[in-house]
Amino acid sequence: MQSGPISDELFRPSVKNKEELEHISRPNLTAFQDGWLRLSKNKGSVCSLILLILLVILALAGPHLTQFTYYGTDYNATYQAPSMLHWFGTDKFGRDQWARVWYGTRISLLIAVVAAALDLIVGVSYGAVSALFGGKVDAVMQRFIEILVGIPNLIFVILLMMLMPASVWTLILAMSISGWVNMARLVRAEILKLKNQEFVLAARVLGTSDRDIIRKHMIPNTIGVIVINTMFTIPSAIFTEAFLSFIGIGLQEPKASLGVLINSGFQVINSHVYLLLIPAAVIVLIMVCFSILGDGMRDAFDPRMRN
Amino acid sequence: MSEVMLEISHLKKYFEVGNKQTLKAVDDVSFHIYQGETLGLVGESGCGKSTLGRTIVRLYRPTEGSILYKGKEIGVSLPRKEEREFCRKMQMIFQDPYSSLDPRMKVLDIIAEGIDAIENTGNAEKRRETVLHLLDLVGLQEEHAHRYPHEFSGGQRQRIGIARALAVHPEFIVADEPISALDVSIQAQVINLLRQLQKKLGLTYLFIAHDISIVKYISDRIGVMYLGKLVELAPSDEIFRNPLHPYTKALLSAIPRPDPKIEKQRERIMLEGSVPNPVDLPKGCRFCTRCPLATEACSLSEPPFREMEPGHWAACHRYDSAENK
Amino acid sequence: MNQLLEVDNLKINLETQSGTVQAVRGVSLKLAPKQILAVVGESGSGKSMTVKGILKLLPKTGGIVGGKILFEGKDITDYSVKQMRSINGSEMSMIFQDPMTSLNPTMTIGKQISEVLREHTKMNAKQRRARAVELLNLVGISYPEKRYSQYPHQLSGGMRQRVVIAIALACNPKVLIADEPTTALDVTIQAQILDLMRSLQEKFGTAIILITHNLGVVANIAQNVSVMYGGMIVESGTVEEIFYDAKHPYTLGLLASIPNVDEKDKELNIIPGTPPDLIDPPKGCPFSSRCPRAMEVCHQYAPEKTMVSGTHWLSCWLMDPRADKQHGGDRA
Repeated sequence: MQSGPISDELFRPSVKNKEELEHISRPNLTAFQDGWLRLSKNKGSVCSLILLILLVILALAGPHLTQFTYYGTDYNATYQAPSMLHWFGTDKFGRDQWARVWYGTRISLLIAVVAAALDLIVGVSYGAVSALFGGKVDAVMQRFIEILVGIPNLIFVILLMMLMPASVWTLILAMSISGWVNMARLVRAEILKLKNQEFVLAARVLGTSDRDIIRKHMIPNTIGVIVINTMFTIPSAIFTEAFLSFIGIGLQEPKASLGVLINSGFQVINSHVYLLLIPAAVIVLIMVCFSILGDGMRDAFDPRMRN
Repeated sequence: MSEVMLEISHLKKYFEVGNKQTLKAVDDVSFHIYQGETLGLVGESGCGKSTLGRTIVRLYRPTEGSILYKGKEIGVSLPRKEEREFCRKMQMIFQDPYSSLDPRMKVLDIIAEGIDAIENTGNAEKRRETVLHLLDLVGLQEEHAHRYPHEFSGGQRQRIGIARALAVHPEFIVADEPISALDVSIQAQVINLLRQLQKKLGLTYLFIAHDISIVKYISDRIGVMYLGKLVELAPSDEIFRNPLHPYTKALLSAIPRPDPKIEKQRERIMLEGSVPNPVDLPKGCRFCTRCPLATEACSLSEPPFREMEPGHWAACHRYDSAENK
Repeated sequence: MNQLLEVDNLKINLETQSGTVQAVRGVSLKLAPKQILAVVGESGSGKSMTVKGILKLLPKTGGIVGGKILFEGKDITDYSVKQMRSINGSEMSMIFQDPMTSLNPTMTIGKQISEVLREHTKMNAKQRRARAVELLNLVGISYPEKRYSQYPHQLSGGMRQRVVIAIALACNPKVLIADEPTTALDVTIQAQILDLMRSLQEKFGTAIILITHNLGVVANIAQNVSVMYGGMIVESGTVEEIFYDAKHPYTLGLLASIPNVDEKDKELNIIPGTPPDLIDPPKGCPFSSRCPRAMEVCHQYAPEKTMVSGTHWLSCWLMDPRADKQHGGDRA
């Protein structure tokens, strides 16, 4: 055996510290901190988050940064190309496109966020009730969802648009009629899975009431999927709004949304392409950012990814 | 022996599994558990041992039969208040140290869950003290109270699960494979802890496992289950010395001993094939398809569960003639 | 002795979110033809990673960062996954723990066996079918002709593991690596599978590396044993040397912590504490923090390998002559 430079002194029994045996060396992180840490390491997500914040600020402040309003017409200045005066140019009525784009973004985001919030409230409660009651209640509620999914969404929307005046709220309502179905299914699946987890069984054996089980175990453990699903609902709501406005059953002039702007830009695509490109770029940016951020959040907050 | 704590008679638990088929997870099982003892329950996967444990702690409602806890029927639905007071005396320790603790809760709140369930006194200091005392009892430290489950190793998590069960001062604990997911050296930690706690707190255990050598180590008596039936029940020394049921014999012979010399010399009873589908049970004795000693009588009728020798119960036709003599 | 497989000072790192895990920290193994070598250790000791490293089945986040792997004298350390294909399956094959997930649920059993044969041999369809049926028969599956066209879900767990073994044996490999092959199975089925593996080894002379945490299984089947802890082999020897003449405190602790069915009411030996975190491995001996006989030196310097006999060696400071003096001959 090789002796080396190790002194004989070291060959005495070491003193044991019992505390040390059970010591956990890694830092004490909550699930949220841990997820946040990992999200912040994901460059794509961080960029998306920053861009989204910028877009929201522009949507709120943008229209006020110029002297023009989104509805003010100026027939002497129609179809102006982007310039120092009109940063994004003007449209066929001489309205300032900068003001209109950011106003439209604001409306589109508003519609998307409110629609997503409605989906969230309805979907979560529906899914939770369905899973928690189970049995016949669950069967009936699931059949109802299947019927709803069976009818094409567009039919609902068009019917509603014909019955009610075209406004932001009509659009939101139309989108929410069947938009919550996804959320409801997701939450139901998640809760069904949780119901058989051993920690929920343990809670029942301990005599925890159903209300407390929902409050302490079900909600905190489903919040992740709910948040992430919402992150994916928002871009799809923006797209639906744009689509409806584009085919002409959405908001009406002079109100603007990204869909309305793209529609009018599309009509002059050959001569004034900037009228189409700018709102299109904004909508693409919003959708891509939300998707990347949603993806990043799913990876970061999924407990299975933790070690 | 001391008084009977739990009396289970003709307990059945069936599950509907679609196509109008019935899974007889627990089928007509009767036994007693005495105060202060550890009853081990062994069997292969799918034999219904976990279902039996869960039915006893009222996670499932029995299909038929009765469970008497200190003379009181608990297999039926009870008034909320009674359920709370009475049934918290029975607690459960779970198998999977990863899914048995809520990943979003701190250890402090996990252990205090049982305390929170009855008294919402809002006395945070007292609650904390109780939890710290419990942590100490299972060999963990104060600093662990504010950490999350994923930071702990399997053995530590299992000890947190034990502390959670102890928080409500139970008398009877069903331990459902509490160590099968753990490493060998950690298994010993948990087993020793369970034994110490039993001595200190006078607990009664129903210890469920598939490893009969560990069950023997901790149990006073051992019950062997096969396909929803209890096939043998005897004091643990007795079951090792004189197993009556052919399935018990095979099970004992299949355990690999950690001793190469014994292993090289041993003759095994090899069981043919594998466990039949529990939805489609064989006629007669459920073990007859794999039993090396099966006769025609075995496939005709189910053998009754009888006391062959004082305290030694078994269900096998081979001992029918002995009875008649 | 001429070695079939030689692993020398293998080091494997795994990248995780919390840092680099040094999963394997200098493992050396030798496998002679026809030998059954058991690698014993707790979860996280690096035993699975070692064999995955040998077969180049490491996850994408992992990689070999040092050491050498020789197979029949050929250096295969830097083989690409593609190069390994000529060896995996035909020369070396692996059985995994969970028979449920190691079979493709959408393919019949026969098809899965003949796929392997198609990959590695020049047999035609008819020969492959005949060979597949022969293999099923060999691993003790009744009615092999009928089973040939069945799907995995139609078989029980034990049967599935037999099929997995049949697939692994399809090309008469020289080395069979079995990663916890019986852990997911019931005791009576475990006995059947161990019996099968032993009989196959006798019949075909396949060398087997068995990874397990169950010392009963080791005693049953192995000829040589290596005990792993904290990414290193701490003791290695023949099965008799390990079971009757173990010297490393970890091996001794492990042996003492199994309940012995023949003895009653002996308090089980406890190894207190938990295994080391391999993101920040201990400087000295990996077992030092849990070792009942640890000395100051154990925490600071890694122990050297000490040969006890031609086959038995361990890494422990207690083997150092100076340790004896300090302990005053209290050696057990």
